[in-house]
Parts: sequence; structure tokens; C-alpha cells
Amino acid sequence: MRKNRLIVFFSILIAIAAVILGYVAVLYWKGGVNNYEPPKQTYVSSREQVQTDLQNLSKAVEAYFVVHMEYPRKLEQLQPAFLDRIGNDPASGTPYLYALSETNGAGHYRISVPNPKLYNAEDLYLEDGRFYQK
Amino acid sequence: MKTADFIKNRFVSYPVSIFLITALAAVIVLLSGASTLYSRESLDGEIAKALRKTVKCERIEIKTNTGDNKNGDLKSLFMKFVSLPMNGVPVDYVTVQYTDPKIDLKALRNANTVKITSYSDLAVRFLLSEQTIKNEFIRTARRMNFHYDKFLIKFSPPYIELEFSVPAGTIPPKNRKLVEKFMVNDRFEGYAALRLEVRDSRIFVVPAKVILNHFLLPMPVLAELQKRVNPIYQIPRVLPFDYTLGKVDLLKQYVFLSN
Repeated sequence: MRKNRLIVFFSILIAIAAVILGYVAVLYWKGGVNNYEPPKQTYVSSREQVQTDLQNLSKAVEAYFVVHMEYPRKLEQLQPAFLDRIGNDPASGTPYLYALSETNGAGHYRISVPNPKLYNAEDLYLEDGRFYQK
Repeated sequence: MKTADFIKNRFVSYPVSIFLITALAAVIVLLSGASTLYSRESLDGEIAKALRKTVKCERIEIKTNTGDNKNGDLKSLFMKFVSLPMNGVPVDYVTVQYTDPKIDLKALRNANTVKITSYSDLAVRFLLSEQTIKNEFIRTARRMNFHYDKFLIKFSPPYIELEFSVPAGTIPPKNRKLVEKFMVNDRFEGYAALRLEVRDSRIFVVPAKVILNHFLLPMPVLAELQKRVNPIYQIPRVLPFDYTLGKVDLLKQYVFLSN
């Protein structure tokens, strides 16, 4: 009886030690130079990706305005200082639409998806930093 | 002679009072124009001149816009400050944009002070370039005698990536205790991917991934490290503007802060 208890006790100890060693081994394996990269971003849905893309484009447009005191005429002007790549609408695979307008002497910009119906929406766009979906 | 006489007679025949009235009217128009109206360019210039008293930077640009307002009220006032030093760190661009501002013109004219008595919206934006941050790091390391073999900074939105190799002695003792078990040959080498957050104009770093001497640091250690190093910087306010920075975004070559 006592022998069995000892066997169980040492088995548990060995199991715990194995788990800890395994965990440390995983941390060491993930610490190599080939892991010197940031965590990858994953999106739950294409709508979430669109919202993130539009917000990133909007920040870049606003930053362009800070430097040049006017909005860019086209999104390509945001490269390379503000953006690495413009990206496409994930649902249609085509570029996002960008439009400038002026009201009361003030400039406005709008970035939208080419076909909002692909997202079951009538409108899906970002205007002057605010996101709209109808 | 005949023409001269003709002109002289025409001149003399007008009553003196009409000339007086005309002259008085001209003076009244000039005075009222001078007291209430600034041309757009002179207003921009006056505001820039007043701001140069309090805001020391490389260049100030002002842009006012009346939009469709027939009464001359401003629709927007945009101010841009280039290379503005903040606690020794030169912020590349700072912009302050008022919507529907009412400027105290008396204070501007008499005391050379910019006073915005009311506005409907205020947008403050800071842009700090990757190159400025790198230069500032080198300068600070030299000043603090911080020795390092490698310290690379790279913007990979939404992360700032660091690759480093530093002697263990450069890490403050209270923080070194936390990571001592990962120390090899009295030095720390590794990699970090950090995100930035801003709360009440204070910058916080959030480590998303840290590798130290070939070990990926587990989340509890990262959480403790995060608590000890934050906030890493308090952004001083640009006077005379009243705002609090609350958003930060990382772009390809810039850190973008806004209220």
C-alpha cells in the first residue's frame, strides 16, 4: 500500500517535471533568431479586415494632411512614408475607392469599398476619420 | 488758360460742406475697416507672430479659412509647428486645428496674444518620425553612458520592433532581477515587438513578444515588466493650447498621436 502511494507520488512528480521541462523547451524553441518577427494579425471576418484597412488608410491620410496641409489626391501618395501597401477590398479583390470633396471651404475625404452589397450593406465607408455602415 | 479757369470755377462752385462730408465718410469707412477687419494674410501673420512668443520651433505655418461665411467669421484655424522640441525630443510636426473659432482680436492686436474665446471642435495631432526616434535614442544613450553592441529600431505597424544586444549592467537592478534567470554571459540579447498606447498624454508600451537570450518570455513575466517600465514618457502640453492626447497609431515612418 505504502509502495503504491510512493509510486503514484513519484509518477505525479515526474509528470509535473516533464510538463515544466516541455514548457521550457517550447520557450527555447520559440526564442530562435528565425522567430524575430512580430505576432501575425488574424481577422475573424472580412468585414473586420475592411474596418481595419479603412482605419489604417484614414490615419495615413490624416498624417499626410499634417505634413502637407492638404489631403492627398490619391491613396498612392501615402506610400512609402505613411503606408507600406494600400491593400485591396478583401471581398471583391479590387482597390478601395478614395474621393475628395470640399464643403464650406473645408476639405473632406472618403474611403469606401467598391461594392458594399458584398458585405450585406448599402454603404460601407470611412469619412473624415469616422466609420459608417448602413 | 480757358481750361484752367473752367476747372477752377467748377471747383469753387461746389459747396465746401460736400467735400467735408465726403472726407468724413472716407475717414469713418477707413476707421471701421481697420478696427473690425483683418485681411486673411495679415491675420495669419499676426497669429504666427504672437505664437512665436510662446512656441519655440523651427517654423510656424498658419492657415485661416472663412468658408462661405459672409460676415467674415472664421470657419477654421489651422496652426502647424515644425520641429517642436518637447522635453528635448524634437517632434517633427504638431498641428492644432480649431473649427468655428472666435479669436480675441483685441488681445491679438494689443497684447500680441492668441486667445481663442470659443470653438466647436479642436483637433491636435503630433507626428514623430522613425528617424527622429532613432537619433534621439543615440543621443540619450551617449548622454547616459548607455553602452550597447546592437540596438535596432524598426517600425512595422502596428508594432515597433527592437533587436538588441546589451551588457547586463546597463539594465537597472530592480528590472534586472526580473530577467536575471535569462541572462547568459553577463549580457542580454534578443528581440521585442511592442505596441504603443496613450492615456492622458502619457505613453505606455505594451510588449506583444519579447525574446531574451534565446528564450521567449512567458506572459506573466511580460505583464510584470510592463507594470515596471510604464509609463515611459509624459508628453508635455504645448501652451497655450488646452488638450489631452489619447490616441496613438503607428505608421510606416511615423508615430501619430492625436487627442
